[in-house]
Amino acid sequence: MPVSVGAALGEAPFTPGVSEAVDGRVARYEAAKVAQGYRSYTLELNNGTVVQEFVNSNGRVFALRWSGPDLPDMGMLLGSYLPVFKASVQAARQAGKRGGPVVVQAGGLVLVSTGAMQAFSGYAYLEPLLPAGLDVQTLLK
Amino acid sequence: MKRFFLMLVSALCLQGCGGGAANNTPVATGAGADTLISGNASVQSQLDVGFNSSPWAGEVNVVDLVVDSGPDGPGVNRLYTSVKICQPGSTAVCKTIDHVLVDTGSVGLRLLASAVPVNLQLSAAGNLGDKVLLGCANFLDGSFAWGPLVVADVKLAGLTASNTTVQLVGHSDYRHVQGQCSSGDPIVTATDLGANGILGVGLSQQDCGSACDPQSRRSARNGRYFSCVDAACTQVAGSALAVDKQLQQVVARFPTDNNGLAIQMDGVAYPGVPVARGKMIFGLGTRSNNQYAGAQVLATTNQGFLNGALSSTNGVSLGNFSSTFLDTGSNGIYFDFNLPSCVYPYDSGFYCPLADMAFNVVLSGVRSGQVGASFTVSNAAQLLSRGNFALPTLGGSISMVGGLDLGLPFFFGRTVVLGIDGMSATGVGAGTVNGPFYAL
Repeated sequence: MPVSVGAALGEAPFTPGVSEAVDGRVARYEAAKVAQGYRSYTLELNNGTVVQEFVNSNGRVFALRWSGPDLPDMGMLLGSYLPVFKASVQAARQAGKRGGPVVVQAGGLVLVSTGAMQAFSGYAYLEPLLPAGLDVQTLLK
Repeated sequence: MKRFFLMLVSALCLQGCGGGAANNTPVATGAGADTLISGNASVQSQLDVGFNSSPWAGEVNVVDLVVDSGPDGPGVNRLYTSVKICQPGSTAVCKTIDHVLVDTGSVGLRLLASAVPVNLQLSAAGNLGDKVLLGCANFLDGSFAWGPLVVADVKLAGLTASNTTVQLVGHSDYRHVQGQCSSGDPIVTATDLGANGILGVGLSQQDCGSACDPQSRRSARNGRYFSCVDAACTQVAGSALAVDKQLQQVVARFPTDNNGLAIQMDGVAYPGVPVARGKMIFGLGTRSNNQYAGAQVLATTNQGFLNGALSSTNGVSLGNFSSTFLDTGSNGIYFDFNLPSCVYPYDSGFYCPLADMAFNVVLSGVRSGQVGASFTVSNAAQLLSRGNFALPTLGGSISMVGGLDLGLPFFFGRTVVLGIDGMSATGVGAGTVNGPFYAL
């Protein structure tokens, strides 16, 4: 039952002490790096995986990427977009796709989740929230 | 009167509780290793009788592998074997479970609780008096394996991994999920998983290692292991778990033939077949049937990666893939390349070139030595539309810089040797070699 707790796509970024349900899973938090049209924050999860959030000028997370030994909780990262992710993987499963990387492009959500045990990586972004003129593919490489 | 009643109750309890008697119905789901956890299978599932309860008649260290339609649900290129689990020390109270996925990309045995008979009762893992432990494993598609850890003898061919931690997945008494095993889709049925379990035979000795060991700084919040907080297990908390209590590389726990394994698959011709077969051979250089003197050893990084130098068949270099891995749990060969993607209904990241694309790859590891190999990517729509389940030339994108996932199609017509981390072997190439490594 995913709860909107901050740090998810489309929402306000993670705030230590405020994003309650997520706090227990975040071991380390690095404050914003400011760039043109966006800010980025780095979270290190308890399982060792690092998540980088990108926030637009309206204070909403428009993109994030992760890398590390275990998968992050998709509910925590996708918030209200979790059902879009789930519907997409269900359709892929029906088409015979199992056990490989996950690519989602639906409902404004673009997501790639890939890797193997001990080395997972991926990214997700919301097309409607991208800052104007930003090359998101280069940003997330 | 009252005092007599209390004495009577405690006398009954001494006889019935924690004794492991076959008639005992486990009540407390959260209490510790004196808890017996039963399987969840439908009433039809019974303990092994007849052929399955006889001693192993084949080669001591060899099991059959099969690629077929699986127990339920759509899916191709799924590699299966049968696994026998028994109450520790028993050869009679056992169940042979078919269609367990053989996965070189993970470590540990996970079985659907629904595939284990109700009258197979196994002790909860952990120390006496501790609460029941549970495991959490996440998969890329958001599904997760959640369930209690038990101790069983795991038998493959004529070899036994005694007192081995096994995860029972989707157990109906342990549905209160937590942490990372909460937002996704829980694996409960064979349709969810496309199998009755997963036998992870990857290069590591444990599922998590030092990151989950109590000695490690953040170990209780590792996201992989939890323990029940209350006796009814309505609440769980993150838990550290010593490396020898984690899910184990089962092969490493055999008394012999335990330093590695080989996967030997029959060749599969285009456009695929309904059923493909192979063998999994345990031990490296321990018997006459597991000598690989002609194989080239490829030592992997700690994460299990090799380097793959890709080229076209006429020698044009196509790039270096520094995160190359061999994974029977992947159902295709996945790498990022300028090949056309398929359109609906096969548009889930598979490649659909108009004609077959052949590639050469030179594989090398972190020590000297290299092996040349080749593979082909065909039009996935053509492969997937014929009703076959073993597809030799299925490929797709991976969206991972430097990633080259040599999945099950790479294993067809090959023998792939896996050397387990922390073990050494003779009989693979020349001299003595230490894991982790692949050898081709």
